[in-house]
Amino acid sequence: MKNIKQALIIAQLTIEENIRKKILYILLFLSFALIAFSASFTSFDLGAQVTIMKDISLSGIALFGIVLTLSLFLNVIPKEIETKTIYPFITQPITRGTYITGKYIGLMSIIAVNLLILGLELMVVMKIYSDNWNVMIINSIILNILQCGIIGGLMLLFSLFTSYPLTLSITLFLYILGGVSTPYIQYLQGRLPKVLLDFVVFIKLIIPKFDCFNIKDAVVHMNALPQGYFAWATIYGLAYVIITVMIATILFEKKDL
Amino acid sequence: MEFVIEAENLSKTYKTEGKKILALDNLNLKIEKGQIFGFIGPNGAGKTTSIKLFLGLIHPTSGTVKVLGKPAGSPEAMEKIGYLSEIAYYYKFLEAKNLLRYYASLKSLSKEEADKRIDLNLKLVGLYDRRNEKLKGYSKGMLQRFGIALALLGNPELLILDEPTSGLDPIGRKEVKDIIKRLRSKGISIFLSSHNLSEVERLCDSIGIINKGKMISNKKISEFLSYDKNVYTMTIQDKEDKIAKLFKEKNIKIEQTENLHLKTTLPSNDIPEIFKLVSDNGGVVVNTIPGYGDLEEIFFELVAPKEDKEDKKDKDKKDKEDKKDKEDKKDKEDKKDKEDKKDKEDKKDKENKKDKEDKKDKEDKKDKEDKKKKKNKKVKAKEN
Ligand SMILES: Nc1ncnc2c1ncn2[C@@H]1O[C@H](COP(=O)(O)OP(=O)(O)OP(=O)(O)O)[C@@H](O)[C@H]1O
Ligand SMILES: [Mg+2]
Repeated sequence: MKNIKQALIIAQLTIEENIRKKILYILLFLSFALIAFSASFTSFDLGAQVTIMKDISLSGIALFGIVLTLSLFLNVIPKEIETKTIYPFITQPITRGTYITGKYIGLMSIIAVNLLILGLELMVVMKIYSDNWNVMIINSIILNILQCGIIGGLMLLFSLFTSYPLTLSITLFLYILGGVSTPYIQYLQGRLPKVLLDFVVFIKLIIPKFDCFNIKDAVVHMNALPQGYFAWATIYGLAYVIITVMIATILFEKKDL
Repeated sequence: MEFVIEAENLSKTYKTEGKKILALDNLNLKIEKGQIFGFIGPNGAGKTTSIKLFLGLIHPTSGTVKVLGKPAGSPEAMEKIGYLSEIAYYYKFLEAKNLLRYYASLKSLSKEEADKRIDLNLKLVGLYDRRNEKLKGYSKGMLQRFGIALALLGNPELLILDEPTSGLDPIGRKEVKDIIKRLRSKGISIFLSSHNLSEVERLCDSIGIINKGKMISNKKISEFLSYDKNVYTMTIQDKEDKIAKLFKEKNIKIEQTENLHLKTTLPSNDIPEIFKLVSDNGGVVVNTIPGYGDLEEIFFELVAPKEDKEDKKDKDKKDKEDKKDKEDKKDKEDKKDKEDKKDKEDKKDKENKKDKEDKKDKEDKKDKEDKKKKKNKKVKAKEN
């Protein structure tokens, strides 16, 4: 109980620190503008226009989420260690795991709130154009948030033992590899040294399949998702989040501050 | 006996860019509850490294350390530890009071209690009037004061202060020292690191001297300074270079010679005779201090000569010095034996003194206050 309370306090402080960052508002404004801009597409066919709007907006929101995650998570803990602003916190009666979890929750709350704002904006626009609340948009946003959660967890993890350019590169590499479907990997067979290929296949096996958080096509074309898909994807995402934060905690505990 | 810090064979090696730096070498340290322990040593001696190990901020390469009977850095231990870092590492974007609230909410303090203690401590360090200003606008000394308020936040049983008076003006230093004295009277144990020897001398019950990662000495303050009223340390200017010879003839031990200045320790009965001898031979008695010199001298005797020696790179010299070292060691051992004997005597004397002092105390209070004022003036003068 005490740990949870402490984590939430760290989260609150993290939010208070980060909502002062201009980048947050710039990104938010750009995405807002994108959705408004997509609404200005005119077409003879209202149905086609709505489809285009949804497509552009959902892609925009997903991209916004990733960029925001990369910019917020890049360097969080290393910066605190370097400036040693972490000292007055870690010397309170708090475990390192609680601290890092609090940081994570704080940053993820910012991301979640931002994505939900954009999702709501899109829903309102859709309501105006197609006169129906497209609830699937919210499902799509939630899966986006989970995807950002995994990316954030990975960054937290890597930033504890590498420099931030490397953290960024590794995370992006894993994100892209995680989204690539298996046939592409088969295509690499024979074109890459065996060791490297085995390595790629192994990595592919353990990293999350990021494409399963992307239900944009289903939302855009109003196709129903397989039964239980959303619940399954949520659990899958949460599991990865928990695992990455746990590994980050173990690494963080071993670290000299 | 209850110990607030127990370090056993504690070592720390830093690895940076392929280099290994042995920052702390086999530290064995036990600090009794209720004590003020002064940890002194030159820059890079390993003071901060030791403190970080006590707080669990870094992990030992070998050895163990327990703080308040619990593993270093564990939340159970940290609940009752107040820590002041050597440099201010606080968020600048929050107001002082607001930030203290955040720190307090991580402790097991009720909200009302936390608010009460925050106000109390801000008043104590003189920041209450500026409690609603952001730390961005604080001066170095104000940040240091803020740090002290933070360290005292959770009713600590143990305070770990890394150079608590650095960055403070003379008034601030005195205030911090007064705070430390007040805390001692409440039975709080304090570990403080410092370069400022006169500070340590006045505040501490025990002091440890550390150099190049090794603790060279760890004693009760009374063992360092024997304020034996019958012994005086004299500094004599030997203008015509005669006095040293005369002293040798008369078998008076010279402790130090530097720029035609001699230093010697004498029983009080001999002083008139020495004064006469000095003035007859063209010398001047520069000063006469009761006791065996002050801590600063002991410190530099322990620390400075070694550093000088290692700076010299000539092998020949080193060889010679090795021989000297051996001789020095012998001397030191001899000294130790003597000191041990003296200590025993000192203790007896003190017990007698205490009884006498209790009686005197009541009468002397006024006198002492006057003296204190004078002392403070002296201290300020020194610090300036
Ligand atoms: N993070 C680190 N990485 C590498 N070396 C370090 C690190 N921290 C300290 N050292 C080295 O360890 C030694 C002891 O440093 P430490 O900070 O403990 O000294 P100190 O006694 O606190 O000195 P000061 O009085 O200057 O504060 C020094 O040689 C220092 O260079
Ligand atoms: Mg230091």
